[in-house]
Amino acid sequence: MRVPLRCLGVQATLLALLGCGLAATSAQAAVDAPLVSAVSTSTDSWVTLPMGDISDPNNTFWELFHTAPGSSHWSLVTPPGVADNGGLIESASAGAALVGVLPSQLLRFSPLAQSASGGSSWIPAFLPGALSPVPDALADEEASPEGTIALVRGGRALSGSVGFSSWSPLVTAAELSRVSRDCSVLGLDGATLLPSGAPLIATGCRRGGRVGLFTRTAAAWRNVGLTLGGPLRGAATTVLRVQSTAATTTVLALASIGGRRSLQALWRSGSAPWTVARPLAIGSGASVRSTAVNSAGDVAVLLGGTGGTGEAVDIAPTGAWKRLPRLPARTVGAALPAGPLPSNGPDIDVFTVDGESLDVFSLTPSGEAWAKFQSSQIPLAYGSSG
Amino acid sequence: MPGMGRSLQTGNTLIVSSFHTALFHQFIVVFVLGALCAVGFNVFRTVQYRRLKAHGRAAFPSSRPEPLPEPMARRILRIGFGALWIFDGLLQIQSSMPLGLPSGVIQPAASTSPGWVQHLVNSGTSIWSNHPIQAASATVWIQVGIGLWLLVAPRGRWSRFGGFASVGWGLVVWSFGEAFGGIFSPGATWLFGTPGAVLFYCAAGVLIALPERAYATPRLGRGVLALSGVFLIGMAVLQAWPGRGFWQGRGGTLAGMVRSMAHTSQPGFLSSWVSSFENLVAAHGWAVNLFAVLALATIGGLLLSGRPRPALAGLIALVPLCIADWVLVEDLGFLGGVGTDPNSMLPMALLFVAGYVAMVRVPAAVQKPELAAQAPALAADGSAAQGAGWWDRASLSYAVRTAAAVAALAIVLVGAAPMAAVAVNGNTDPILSEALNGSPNTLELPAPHFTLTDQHGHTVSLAMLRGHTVALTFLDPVCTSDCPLIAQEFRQTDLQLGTAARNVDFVAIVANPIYRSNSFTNAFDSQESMNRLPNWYFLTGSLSQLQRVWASYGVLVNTLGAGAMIAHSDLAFVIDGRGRERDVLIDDPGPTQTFASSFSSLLLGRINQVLNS
Repeated sequence: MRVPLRCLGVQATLLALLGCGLAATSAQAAVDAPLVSAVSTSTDSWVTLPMGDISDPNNTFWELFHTAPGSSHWSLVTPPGVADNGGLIESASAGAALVGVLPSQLLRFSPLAQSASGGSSWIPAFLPGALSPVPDALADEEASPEGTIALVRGGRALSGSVGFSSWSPLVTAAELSRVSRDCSVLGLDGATLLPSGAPLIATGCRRGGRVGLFTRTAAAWRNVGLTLGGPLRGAATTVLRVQSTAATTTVLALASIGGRRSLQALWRSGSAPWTVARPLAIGSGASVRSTAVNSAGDVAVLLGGTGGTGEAVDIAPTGAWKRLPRLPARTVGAALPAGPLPSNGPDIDVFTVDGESLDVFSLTPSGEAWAKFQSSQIPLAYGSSG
Repeated sequence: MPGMGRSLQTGNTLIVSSFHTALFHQFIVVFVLGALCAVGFNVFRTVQYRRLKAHGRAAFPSSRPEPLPEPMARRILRIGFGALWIFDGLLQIQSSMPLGLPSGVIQPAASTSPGWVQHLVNSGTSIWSNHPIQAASATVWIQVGIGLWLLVAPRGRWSRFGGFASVGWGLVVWSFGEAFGGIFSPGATWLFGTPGAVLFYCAAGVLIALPERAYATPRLGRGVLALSGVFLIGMAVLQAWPGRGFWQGRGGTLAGMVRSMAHTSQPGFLSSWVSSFENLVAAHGWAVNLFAVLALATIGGLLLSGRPRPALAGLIALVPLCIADWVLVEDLGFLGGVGTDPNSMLPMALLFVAGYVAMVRVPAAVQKPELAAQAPALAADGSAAQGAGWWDRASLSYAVRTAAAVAALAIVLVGAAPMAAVAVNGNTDPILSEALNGSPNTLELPAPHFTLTDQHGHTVSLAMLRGHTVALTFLDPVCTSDCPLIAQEFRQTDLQLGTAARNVDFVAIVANPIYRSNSFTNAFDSQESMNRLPNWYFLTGSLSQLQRVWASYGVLVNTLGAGAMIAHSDLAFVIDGRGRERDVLIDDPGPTQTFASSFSSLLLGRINQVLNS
């Protein structure tokens, strides 16, 4: 554990100043969830990927790709009309998608775009704020009375009416912090709409091994998360993904304690108790680079190691984490198929990007290698954002 | 097109030609002022002659030999630094100076200095960047004027004032142009010019400004040499300080500096010398640095001794060392890039030599106090001067020197007056925008009609704005780069109009076929604080309505897709109160705030012209 060891060699006063005290070793600051993400419903799969010159934010273009079950082609469906150099947030429900653009440069609010046609056409929509840079900052379910939830900067959640004609405050991180003192809310990490239509807001927790999950019943917010035990007792947590379908609510969290970090997947059906998978410890130098979830509760995670190495892991509800074969070079993202993982093994697509070139690979039937099945060139307007 | 921001090259033809035109015009002013001084001189001599004749004298007061010759050390300083100032002024005539000085000289000089130095330098840089023509041409005349002043006024108050002028302008250049000579920079070293060439100009100016009696004893010279010795020993310590990269050969600080100098454009013979020295430093950096440390410390000690022989020995060693450093490390100071002076070695050597001369060459007449006491302040015909005013006593040489000094001061003012004016002028020179985007097209055509909806949901047509001058542009409300800047250009222009803004409307029409609803125009207005302007309209409409307006004004709107912004023409129109297009301007805000401000000045000028027509 590099940081604590370094701190041990420093005088006590410096330790305090550097924030390397006991509290910091037992629970660490929030980790930003990667924006490279995928979500799959029963009818569609969507993935957002950065392309272009990744070293230059103004020449990094975030692209949205879509595929339907049975199709072997990912189509470029990025909503037009706005520069998305800051990133894209996608939210999908059966038959529809809502995409938000993270503001970049001088823009201070997030334009939205909605599609009911697999991304072939988009309707613009307005959000009075800047979306939080987390993959589940948007939740949209037409059937829900809540309409749409958007997490915006400043630790606020907004509720949008159907058609986005008006937005109203839903809750803030400060309010949720008062609901659950043992969580010590770090910030709003994600939002989804439960089958009942109630909102489910995920938060990071500074301590206590709590996974911050809050829902509203009868105008009151309550904590429906759980406390992690075993080696993650007392850990700080960040929710990387939260998705809900009629059958399952899926949560992927990252727990940190004493310099150790672990991925923790949780599932819940209705109001049943949470199903907790065995945590997956990730190396101290590893980072979470991409996440994917689908409607069946399957989760795939792309981990980046030191020195540019990376690996992929996936897990199905009630299952265990599985390591996938060595990734192709320049892999940036992964996506799960629409619907549940096939019983004969994982069916995961991974994406490699090199400038304007996109290659898509899927696992071979043996599950031991990746096979390229699509190569695309995406024309990018370099320099168009200054 | 938004996001396609361009930048200006230092050789931009409009800027360069305007710079040369300004210099030519100022040369004419200088010529006229010189002629006026000549006329004034003749008028003075005529009046003087008539007054003398009226008093029964038939001849002008005669000049007689000065009992006090100008101290040699002072003459060295005055002529040497006068020539250097003129040389520096002539270097300022380089075409690349208006646009190149901030980015090529000032900012690199400050880049390794602490934040407060950079902040101070940036404040000076902004004056130059906002008014490059005026600042560059002003610098030429100020420096040439100070140089001439020092050369033509050898004695008396006028000469001392020249010294003060040299100190004053030198401090301005040293602080804003040289970032205090890099003394606060971690890489400060005597070899590269620390503490800045212009600080030596300032020191020389102080010595010139001293009364001549200060040169009457060797004390002044000893003081100068003592300070020089302390300075060199301090530089030796700095050079020897470990961990600063000077003991390292290849990859070290000195090797890097010499390598960068070797890569600047210069004559072939010089290039080969510098390259050879680069190889020497790379191979034997430790030995080269040891030599520099020992040389500086030894010479410093010799100068500090205060005795003529050791000091002379130190100077004999110093001069070749300075020349070697000037050629091999400083690359003569002005070759390649945007050179503004010959760097520090020449002025430093000149100052130290003058210090030595001040110590060993005390003016002979001063050594006879009785002669000095008899010397009048002005050369005069003693008998005729009894009871007369200075104008009656002034000799020809005094009158000539005074007229020449006044002319030199006038040249300084030709530069200083516009420099002071631009320093307090908040409006950026519109020429920058014209250089970037081209000059406005002046028209006299009916402006295409439009009827659209403003940000409050009200219908607005061009006809409804009849009677007001209209500044019109096209903006994308979800644009991330240029459109917010263009809106600020309009906002700045609106505010600069003051009460005249009551007769002007600022109108933007949505240039995005997708994100074009009032929600977006309102969000844009709020983001840019445009909603505080009572005469601001952000208009939108149906796609077909917008497309008709875009087409009628020749505005191209292109949906690029794949995560790119909408591309659209950056055009602004000035429409008079009769609904006629008067000007079409490109309102690309350019690469920096300076260019956006420049466009505001340009737009302000065009609107005022229409308002006053």
